[in-house]
Amino acid sequence: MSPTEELVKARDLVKIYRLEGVEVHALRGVAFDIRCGEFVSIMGPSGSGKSTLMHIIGCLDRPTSGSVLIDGQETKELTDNELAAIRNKKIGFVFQTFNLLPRMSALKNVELPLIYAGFGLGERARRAKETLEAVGLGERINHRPSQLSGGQQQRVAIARALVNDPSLILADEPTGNLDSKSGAEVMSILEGLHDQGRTIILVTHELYVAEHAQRIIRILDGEIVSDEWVENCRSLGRR
Amino acid sequence: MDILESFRLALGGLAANKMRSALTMLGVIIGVSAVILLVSIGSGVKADISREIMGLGSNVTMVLPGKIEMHPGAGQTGGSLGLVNKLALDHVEALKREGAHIKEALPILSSAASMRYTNLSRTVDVVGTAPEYPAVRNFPVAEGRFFSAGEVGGLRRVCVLGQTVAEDFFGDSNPVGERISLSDQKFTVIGVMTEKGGGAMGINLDDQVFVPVTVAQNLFGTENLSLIFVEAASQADVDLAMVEAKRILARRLDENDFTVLAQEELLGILQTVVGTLTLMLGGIASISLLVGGIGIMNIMLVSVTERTREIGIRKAVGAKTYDISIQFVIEATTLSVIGGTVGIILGALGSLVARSFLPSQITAWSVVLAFFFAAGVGIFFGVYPAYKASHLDPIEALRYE
Repeated sequence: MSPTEELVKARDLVKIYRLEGVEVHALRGVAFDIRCGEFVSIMGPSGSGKSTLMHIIGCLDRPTSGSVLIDGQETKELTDNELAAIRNKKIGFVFQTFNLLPRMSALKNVELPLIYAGFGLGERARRAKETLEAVGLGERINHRPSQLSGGQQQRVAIARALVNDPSLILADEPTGNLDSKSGAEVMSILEGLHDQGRTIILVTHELYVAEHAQRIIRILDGEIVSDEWVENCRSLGRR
Repeated sequence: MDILESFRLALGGLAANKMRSALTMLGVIIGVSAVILLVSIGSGVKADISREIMGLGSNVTMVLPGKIEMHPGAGQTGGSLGLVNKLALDHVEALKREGAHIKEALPILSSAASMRYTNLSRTVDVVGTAPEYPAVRNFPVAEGRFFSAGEVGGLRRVCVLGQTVAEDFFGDSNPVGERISLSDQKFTVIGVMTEKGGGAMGINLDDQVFVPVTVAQNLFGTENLSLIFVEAASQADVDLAMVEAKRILARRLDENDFTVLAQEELLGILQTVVGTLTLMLGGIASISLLVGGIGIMNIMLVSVTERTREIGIRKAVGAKTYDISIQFVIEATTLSVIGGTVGIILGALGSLVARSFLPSQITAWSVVLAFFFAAGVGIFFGVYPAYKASHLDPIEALRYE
């Protein structure tokens, strides 16, 4: 896959929720392309629709209208199980609240996507261990989430997102529940992944987090208000 | 995801809540063991009755006093209670004399009496009968001899003891020649029967004392007989002998005063009754199994709610609908199958314990049925929670606190 190829193509995304008879327009026609190897932040205040957008790109949710192509594949017509397969093979999620299974060791948590990808026991353990070592947790593979610090838990979550070698990493406020030091650690891991050529979409409402990316898409009330390279943003900010 | 992996996940889920899993299983365990135990007792009683009645000899039919309706459910009318009992020794003689296909007719007059020997005393079943009794009933004498026709005609107070009676009163010593009393009349023991083994219907053949029928008539102050055994010349003649017996007795008695009963009929009636009882008991036990199944469903629904977030995470990393539902179905089925297996073991043990005071017989079909019923209950009651789990919206599930 060449770095210039488009990994995500979003076209006219509209999402309308119906809450007790009231229509809520979470997205009002959002369109953008993200190419392979890009590190993009989606920024906006709470209620702006950025989480909805991330869920739709991540194939966790479907748009009311419009389309998303992941790696050239149209997702509109896919069944729930086909979407699950895309989440499993092409997308790795990193959540604000880590979302690790508390009863399982770090290793077992990282193995989870591999179970649903159909890998055998030995192969799973080997790959999960390698990935945990890559995020610096080789010593703690048998610890449960409760025995790890917040930063370590988020690194386990990153390892889980990476283990199936996905095309796209989706990180939803990955530093939101961390102190600034752990947050910085997590961001440097994400930057490292970007340097290795991975495509990362980061959702946040903090500018200093968003600025780790190359490109920032600002979203407000369900519409894109700006889509700029980080250098331009900084100059705008200074002005 | 292969099925082995699903099992691993399900067992992990159950192990995380050991106490809860054990209590949920308990419902199934109680249900299954109750089914096995009750059905085994029912089957045991049924087998015992069959053995007992078949033990009469295949060419023997019975004449009972009073009218017994043969249709199941019609109930019993008239009186084998003895109130309208008109069977007498004359009838026995008539059956012997006039029945071409009747080889032997055997009078039975039985009642309870108090037996005493030295300072020992208790109530025994006294059976007044004829010298042909050992031959017709295939129940030989072990020591001494049975009484003779002369002793019956001469109203001699002699008796033959059943094994249990002999052991209870005489221990290891030989009772033949000893004097005992029955209802304060002195009798000479002339023999001891072989051991026949206890039976159903509350009759223990070894706990009886046999006396000449004429003596029994005097002892109990009645001319009437409890029962006449009619032996056909051969098994093929049983039906003819029955017809003859009916005809001979109809000439002397009202048709409501006696019933000629074939073994098969008696067996059929008793088996129907016991079979119905077994079914009823099994049915009640099955209800508890059903309740156990509802317990499984209940706990699985709680489990789905508790693990909403886990389900969301699994879906986010690529679990398909099938992956989630199979995990919960296997959890429910594992609960019920382990519960079923433990229940079978406990039920079988219970049945072995029950054997010391009740006839019980573990039947393969009840074990197989209970096991598959339990497994089926697990699958049935696991499917709805599993469906619920697998169709959770991943975003809602991830947000669940």
